[in-house]
Amino acid sequence: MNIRRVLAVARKETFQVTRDTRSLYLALGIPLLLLFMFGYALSLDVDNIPLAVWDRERSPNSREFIDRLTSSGYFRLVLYTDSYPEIVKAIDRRTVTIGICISGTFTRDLRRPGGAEVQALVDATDSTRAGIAMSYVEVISAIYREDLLKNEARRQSITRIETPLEPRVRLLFNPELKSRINIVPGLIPIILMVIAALLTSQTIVREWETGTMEQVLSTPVRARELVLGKLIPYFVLGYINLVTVYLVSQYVFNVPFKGSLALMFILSGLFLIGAFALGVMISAAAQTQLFATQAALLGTFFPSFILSGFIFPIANMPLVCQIASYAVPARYFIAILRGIYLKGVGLETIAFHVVALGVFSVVTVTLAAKKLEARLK
Amino acid sequence: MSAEKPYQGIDTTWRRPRNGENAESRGSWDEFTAGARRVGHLVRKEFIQTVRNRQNFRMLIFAPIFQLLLLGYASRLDVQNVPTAVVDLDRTTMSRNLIDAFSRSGYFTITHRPSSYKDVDRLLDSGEISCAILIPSELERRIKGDRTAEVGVLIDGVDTTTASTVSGYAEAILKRFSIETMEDRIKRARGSRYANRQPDIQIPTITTRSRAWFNPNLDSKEFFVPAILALVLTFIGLTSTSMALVREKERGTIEQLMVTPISSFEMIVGKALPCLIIALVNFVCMTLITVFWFAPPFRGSMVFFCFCSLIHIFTCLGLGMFVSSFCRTQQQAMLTSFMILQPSVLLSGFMFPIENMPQVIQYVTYLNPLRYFLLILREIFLKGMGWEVLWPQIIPLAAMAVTFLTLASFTLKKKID
Repeated sequence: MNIRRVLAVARKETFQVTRDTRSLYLALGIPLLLLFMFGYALSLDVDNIPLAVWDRERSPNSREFIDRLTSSGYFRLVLYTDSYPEIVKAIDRRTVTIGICISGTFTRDLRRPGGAEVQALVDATDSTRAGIAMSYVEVISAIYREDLLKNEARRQSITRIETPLEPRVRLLFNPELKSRINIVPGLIPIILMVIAALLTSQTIVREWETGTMEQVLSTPVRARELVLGKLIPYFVLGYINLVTVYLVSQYVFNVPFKGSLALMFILSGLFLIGAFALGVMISAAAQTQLFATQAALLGTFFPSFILSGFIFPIANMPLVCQIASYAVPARYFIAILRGIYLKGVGLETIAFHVVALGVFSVVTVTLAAKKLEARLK
Repeated sequence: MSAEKPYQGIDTTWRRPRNGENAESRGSWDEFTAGARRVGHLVRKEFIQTVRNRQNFRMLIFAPIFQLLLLGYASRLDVQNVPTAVVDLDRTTMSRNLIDAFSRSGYFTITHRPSSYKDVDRLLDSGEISCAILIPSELERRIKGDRTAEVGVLIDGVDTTTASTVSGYAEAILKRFSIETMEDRIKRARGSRYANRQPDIQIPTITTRSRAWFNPNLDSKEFFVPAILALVLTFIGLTSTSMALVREKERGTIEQLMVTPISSFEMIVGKALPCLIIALVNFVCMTLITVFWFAPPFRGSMVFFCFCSLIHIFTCLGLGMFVSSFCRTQQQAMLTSFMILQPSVLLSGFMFPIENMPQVIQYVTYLNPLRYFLLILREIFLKGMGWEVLWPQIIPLAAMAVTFLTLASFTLKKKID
């Protein structure tokens, strides 16, 4: 291993990266674009659900019930109608997600055996949001029912009637349940993987395809030096992106950072080495850039996006996917980042993930060098 | 292109019409068949080039299938079996009943039973559990003594979707338990007072009956699978097309193509046709897998579905050719299509609802072809909607297909000439 040769390769690769300014802008721009999208435009928060009401009774009781729904902040009344078909039409047209029908005998039924029934028609196309909306309706009606019971007890002058059980639900780490806070730290592995997938995967196959590999081969540079030298500029690029993401998420999107900054940067380095080595490995195996691109997207970007727990919780997946997710380095890195970023945990809590990430990096670097060596011969 | 080229005199039947000159001297039918023949040659060359490289060919066919399977299996947001820790400091029948209510709901799986509140923090920090139920030591005594007991529920808010679902379920379970206890208490109190006079007066009860339309089992698979078909189709359509012409530019073989008698329009068609054929093959494979393997409900018309998909394939092709027209290297082409794909996916409503977005961004989504196609597929699959409901989505999609194809052929023509 000769440092001078490594640096020479790095210098050449840097020229190549900086000369193609459009690619460079894109490599720096894609992370920012993603960050702004997730930070500003996209949210999974379930609130302001459009609501339609068909109140056949229009009594104080039924109005109270509707009031409780709309004042909860989860629902937004957009349609108050006197006909069932109107609700159906509104749901079909997607202007309304949930339709509440209150019968004409609501108050009377309250005291009958079986009780009053409120019907909620839910557009369940998006099942997750529908489920959350349905549980909101249930909780709100339970609270209403509890208050009715209390009134009843008072009316019957039963003394000392208290709510027997009070749920105290606390949401840790993200008390307002802003999906942005969850997503921004999870975005870092995705962004670094984009660089790996789109840039490093091309670096060697491009030399083959354009025929410049023969020129490189005629120099005394060895496979390992070539890999290392080629990685250096991308490593720098990766860190530039990391710092940008960190700064923007701190100062523009106010995502709290609770842990140790140094720890995050060191562990990111570990991830970068593995991710880029994976890119080089693909590049060494590919015959054309088209193949390298598709393989890199399949091998690095897609799994990082889908099997890492970034958006889709791993616990919900079928068993095969759960097992497969152990082979995805972004899974460990996301767990690490969320731990450091949102929970402020130290190395001892995330030790398992760090070790897994280390194993991944060592394995990919070895494989990449081997693959390239075989190819060069 | 300059006026004098070596192909003059080689091809005796055809000469590229120059500016100000038209080809009317020959019959338009002859012109057409000659053009078609030239396009055919180019298509053949493209196919040989694609198929000869086995690696590429396999990738183009199998990559989308792999993506479809991966996304189709992993895209799930259903919340069930949330790993939960229970700290029961009360250890009475009542606290056990309460824990039972949680585990019976099917949403919570009790994995840990630490003996003190202290251990809970560590479990939540390390992510081993997502939810903790804290039952205070005086639960039964307080409730029996007509006082309020507080049951704590700690939820890991990092994953917001799961957290809001879980908090809703937990609250509903606790409320139900509370109401049942309260009813018992009122009945008891009243029973002792009016024991002989009114044995069964009703106390106020209200139940909500929710009916989930279009997806009664609340299965997130049914929501995602049709959308994934749309996503992968766009992905492969755009990436493979955008690299098609750039490859020739990068290798310098485009000059060789230019010296053949082929006109720029024919060249665009010849380049686009193989991409179209590959996209169609992908489409058929993916549709078969989606419909028969993942088997979400398909309530609409198959013919209508294919019609809409064809429009969308043309849109992707147009967009890909357009990217191809202004990129110089394959890397640029790929980065550019990636730059287009990312926002298209995120702003399509695939998983982030469009109505949650800021108003400005909502307007931007109207420029996103995937937004329309995604909605069309979901409506066809889950709701069985047809032309009469979906025309406001189809018309913009078709308009985009026409715009992109025109734009692409204009810019390409300019570049090539």
